[in-house]
Amino acid sequence: MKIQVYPPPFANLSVLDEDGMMVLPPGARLATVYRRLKIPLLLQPLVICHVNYQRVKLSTQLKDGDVISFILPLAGG
Amino acid sequence: MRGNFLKGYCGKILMVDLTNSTFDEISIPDTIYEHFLSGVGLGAYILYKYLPPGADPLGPDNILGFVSGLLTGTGSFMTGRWLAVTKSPLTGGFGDANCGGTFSPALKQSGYDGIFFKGQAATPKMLLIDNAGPQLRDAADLWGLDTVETEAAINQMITANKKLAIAAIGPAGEHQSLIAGISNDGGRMAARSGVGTVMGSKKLKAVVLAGSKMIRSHDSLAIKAISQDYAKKVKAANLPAMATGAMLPMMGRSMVATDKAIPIDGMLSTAIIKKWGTGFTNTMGITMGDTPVKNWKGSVADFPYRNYRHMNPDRIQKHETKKYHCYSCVIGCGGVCDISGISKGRFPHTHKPEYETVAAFGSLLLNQNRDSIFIINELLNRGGMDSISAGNTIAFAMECYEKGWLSQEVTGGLDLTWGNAPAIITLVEQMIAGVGFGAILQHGVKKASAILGIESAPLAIHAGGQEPGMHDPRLDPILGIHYCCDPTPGRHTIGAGSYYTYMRIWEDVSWAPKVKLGEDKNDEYEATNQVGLKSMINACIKQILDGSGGCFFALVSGLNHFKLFDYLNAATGWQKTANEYMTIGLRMQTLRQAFNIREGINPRDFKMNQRLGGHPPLTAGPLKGKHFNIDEMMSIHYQFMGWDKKTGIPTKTALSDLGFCDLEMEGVTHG
Repeated sequence: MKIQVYPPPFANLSVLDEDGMMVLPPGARLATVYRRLKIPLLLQPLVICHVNYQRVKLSTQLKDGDVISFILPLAGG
Repeated sequence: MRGNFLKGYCGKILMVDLTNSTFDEISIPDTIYEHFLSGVGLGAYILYKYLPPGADPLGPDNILGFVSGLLTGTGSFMTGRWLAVTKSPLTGGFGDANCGGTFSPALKQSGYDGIFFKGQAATPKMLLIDNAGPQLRDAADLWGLDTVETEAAINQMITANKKLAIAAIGPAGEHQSLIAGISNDGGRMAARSGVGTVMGSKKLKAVVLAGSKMIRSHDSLAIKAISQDYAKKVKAANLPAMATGAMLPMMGRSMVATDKAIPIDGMLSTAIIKKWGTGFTNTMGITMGDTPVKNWKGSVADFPYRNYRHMNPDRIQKHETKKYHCYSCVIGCGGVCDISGISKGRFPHTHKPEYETVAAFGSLLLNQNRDSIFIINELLNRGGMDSISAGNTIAFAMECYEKGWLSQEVTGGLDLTWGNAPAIITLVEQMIAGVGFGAILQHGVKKASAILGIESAPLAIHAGGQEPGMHDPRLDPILGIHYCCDPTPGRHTIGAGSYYTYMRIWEDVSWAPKVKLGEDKNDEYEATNQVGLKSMINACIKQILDGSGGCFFALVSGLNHFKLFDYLNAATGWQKTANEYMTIGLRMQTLRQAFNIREGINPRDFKMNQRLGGHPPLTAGPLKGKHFNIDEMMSIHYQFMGWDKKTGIPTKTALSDLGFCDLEMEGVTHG
């Protein structure tokens, strides 16, 4: 199955195609995405991740077409 | 007229002649809204049509407009911003500034999409509009009051069935400092372009709105559905409690650790804005290189952790007593801070300092004294002065002082050593009052440099006379294009490469290039077609946003979430595509540029200070060695806008393609 990932900048991007899609085996969980992206442990407290714009647990099972978004600050004022 | 109310707009403006104390309601044809929307587009149309070419910005012929957005009051979210438009005394060209709060819906509830002022009153006046209509009232007793005192006095003076919406100038606008803004809601500022200066020149102290007319849109149910979907996502976007401001510098460093572009879901960035407001950038911006240091010549090496840690947004929010939202906002980045202790009882509270103010009076001046920034914030809000311009101007003075070009004899005894917080506070007070050494700095950095001598010009950081926002083009060169190429130069909210990525506009606009994962961000340091196209798109979508009254933070939450084009169709009943709206945006921007050409502006003169392009390059920090060719960047932007690549003047072909020939706008079609 394919999921859309909006990764944080410090992630391992090599697991995504140019549109940010990740291919996962059926039944994969959110924790798998964390592992593949290699989110640094130190930054994990500041990282928030939503699946289809809802906070979920790392054990959440994913399905084809899910949108996984990691927060990323922007500049402004 | 009823038909217009069903399209989200009122279909008329009010023209107030302050010289003769007369009012003129002017009907605006539907076709003008279809060509220019409302907001900045309607403002540009009125200025072009009614302002005599070559008018003195501070003379009676100049026009000052207060305009709401097309979407304001329709039930759409994040669309409560109003704009002041005028011929800028700071740049000599099109000037605008926008602001949130509660003033924008009050404009439309008064029955007008915009209120415009021409002429000059002999004595101070204020305009009051309630359901009985407009009236000019004497404001002599208000003259000399600061903006907060003015609002309080007006609220004492006028009884209405609803809370008054008040926009007013402070002392800076009264004595016509060229960097004066207009305040509403107790210190929120439409700060840029010297709009408050023009208001002061007209002896107009305040605009007071108390109307309660209905605003109706074509399909309110569709608007409601879009709003609910957006609000649901924003509501779900929250940081975990364990996330603290101390983590932000590390986040900043990580963001520049890679040169690869990353598609971004802007929606979740709203979680950070919800938590800290714009202050999240206070420290993160320094470690990533976005925040300028030491008059744009320094880096984090000059303002390291021991300095910038004082700007941690958590420390600022310790003073926050309440959060607030602007009209129709679901994010709520605003806050009120108790500063009675800090100011020793002088001020009870202040709006939570925006990032721009913290940076302009923090790292830009090497000032680590957080308390001083709270006080300066309130001084500027009450005085009615632009914090970006004021901070840049003081940074210029400090660098001149460092070089020995300024003595204490000239500064009136002020020691302008970097980071001297008491001196900075005194200087801000002097600038607002127009006295002492502040009288030299009160008109911004370009004027100050002209007074202090030609050798100081390289230290005067501005574009076309307006000081840049607190974001560094050496980190994001497309931002630099907009500093130089927008008809109102020096503005940080027009566009940037990062903003483009956040917007995901390619999902709506068929010809917009997609940002692909892994693209080399260094490509944006070259004047390529891709860069020209992105900057052109930024400029166009910003006009659509400002024509709608939209908030910039909604735009960068992503157009895949903030359905701006759907909102516009639902409000008006139009069935326009995103591509067609982009043509409208291009037309709006081109009209603003045509206004500047008519007023004798050479667009190339808006080129920003070379320092901002990395000439010479920084020698330390995350932007070490970064530079780009500003002239080439301007050329590629002009080309994609349909303007002459060398001169920046809109071409006859572009003007014709945009339909100016059919609009009976004398002069625009000359090319």
